[in-house]
Amino acid sequence: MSLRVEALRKNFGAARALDGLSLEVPAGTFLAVLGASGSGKSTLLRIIAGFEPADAGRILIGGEDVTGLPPQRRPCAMMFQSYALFPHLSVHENIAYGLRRAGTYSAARVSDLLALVGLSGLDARRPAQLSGGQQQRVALARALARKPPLLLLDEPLAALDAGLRAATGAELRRLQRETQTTFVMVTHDQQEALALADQVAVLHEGRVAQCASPQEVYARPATRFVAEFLGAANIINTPAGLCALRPEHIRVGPTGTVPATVQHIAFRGETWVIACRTADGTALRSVLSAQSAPPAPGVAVMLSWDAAALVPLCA
Amino acid sequence: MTRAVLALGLVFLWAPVALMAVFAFSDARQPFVWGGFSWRWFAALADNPRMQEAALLSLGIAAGAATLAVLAGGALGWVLARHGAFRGRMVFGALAAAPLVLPEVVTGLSLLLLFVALERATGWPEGRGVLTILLAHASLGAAYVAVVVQARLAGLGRMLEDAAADLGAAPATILRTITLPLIAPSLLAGWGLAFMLSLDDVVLASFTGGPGATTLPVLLFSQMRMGPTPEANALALILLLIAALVGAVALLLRR
Repeated sequence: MSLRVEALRKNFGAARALDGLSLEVPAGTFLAVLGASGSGKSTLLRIIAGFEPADAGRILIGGEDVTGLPPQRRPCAMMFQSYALFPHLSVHENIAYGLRRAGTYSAARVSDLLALVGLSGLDARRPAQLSGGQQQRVALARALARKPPLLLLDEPLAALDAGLRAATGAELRRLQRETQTTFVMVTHDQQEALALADQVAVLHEGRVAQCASPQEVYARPATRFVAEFLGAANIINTPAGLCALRPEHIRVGPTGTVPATVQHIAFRGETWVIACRTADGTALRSVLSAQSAPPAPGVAVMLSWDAAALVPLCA
Repeated sequence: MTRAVLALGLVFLWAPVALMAVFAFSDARQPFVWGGFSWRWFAALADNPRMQEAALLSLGIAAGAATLAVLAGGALGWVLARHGAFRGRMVFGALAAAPLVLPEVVTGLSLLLLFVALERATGWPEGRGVLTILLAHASLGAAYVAVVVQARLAGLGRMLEDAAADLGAAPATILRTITLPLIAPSLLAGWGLAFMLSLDDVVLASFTGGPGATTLPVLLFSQMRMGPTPEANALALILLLIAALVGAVALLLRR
């Protein structure tokens, strides 16, 4: 089902969490809502799920206005950041909870869901007896149990350790494709958002700064904030105005157009990050393949880039 | 150093109790003199119908008051923790917790006045007795239960209840399937607390009790005026064991 958010406003006392946020998510899309902590992204999810009333604005799910409906009557399910598994119920009963409420419980359906997330046979365990990754899968199975047309995921991978995160992310992507469910995933991790989502909405100060495909938001950031938040682009002042310039588009070598001095270098595994300062004091970062020899700090170098690599920014 | 202080503190707390326990087994007629080991005061207790009657009455009142306190205090704690955004919540919360710090003499006197005024106006409750003591104890116990339940709910947070609502559970279903099972240990602990409060209360029972309803602590206290007896020691030891048992269960459940 599609999701439409119209001019959502929410204040907590004097703090403004959402400031007229609008968003359009077509059915079957995997949308990542990307933002720093405090950008209002969790508030947005809680308002969509119905846990929190909005001060103004509307929520439409599948074209139907659900703004005034309680969480029970909204056709969406939420997967909580800390999973919110019921500690006094078994894995089986946790997954069965929504099915029982809807009167569609069958042991076979719960078994299917457990198989779907690769946890067959763990029915009788309590959540406390599971690893973090297993708890995450139970939470996912529980949220998917009633085949919600819209699934809200609050930092679904944040509580997992790095090794599990990539594999679980791919798993989420696969489940989303298989179930044709609309996913709205909130995250602060730009890699995660770029890797998993069809669309990325970057939140800034309670509004959507840009909503586009991962390639688009990365290559053509609309605002300075988006450029800096995704991939830490360089921001430079040109006669045409502020532009973003990706570190990978800056060449460092003996020849070039802009003289600069190497400030420091950092090894990042597959790359070297070279921090330079130009004659007019602008700080620029570039990356070099780990195979090449990096220039030493303090050395004078020449920088160059293609005019096409400059992305004009609107703010 | 820390150990010495700890030991000193424990001696300060428990030496009188230990002394009482030891003299409960003394054969001597004076409760401060050791006259050799004997069960005679326990046997004397068993032969004392007044004591037994009072003990049974006390246990009954304690159980009834604790049950009532759990019902009223549990509901109060739940409202304060979960429907806490209403106007005057702070005042209401403070009022609910006030009996914890209010002098019992004040509580006792005000309850007595209330019961008298109620009887004049409505004819109920008829005189002071078991019922009025039970209600007085329940009202004090409810304040404790409310605090315990409120703390537990605040610690749990709302997330599990949100998750249940998200999965389609109606508010009443959430209360039954999620909230109540999760606060059950606190309710049981609160029951134990209220039970013990009632079992050892002299002040409230003196104010709100009548001639027909003498609880064990009140009886014990009145006998002390004639001078202490080793029989009272024996009884106190039994009370202590019951309290310790209930307390231990309550403590285990609160974790």
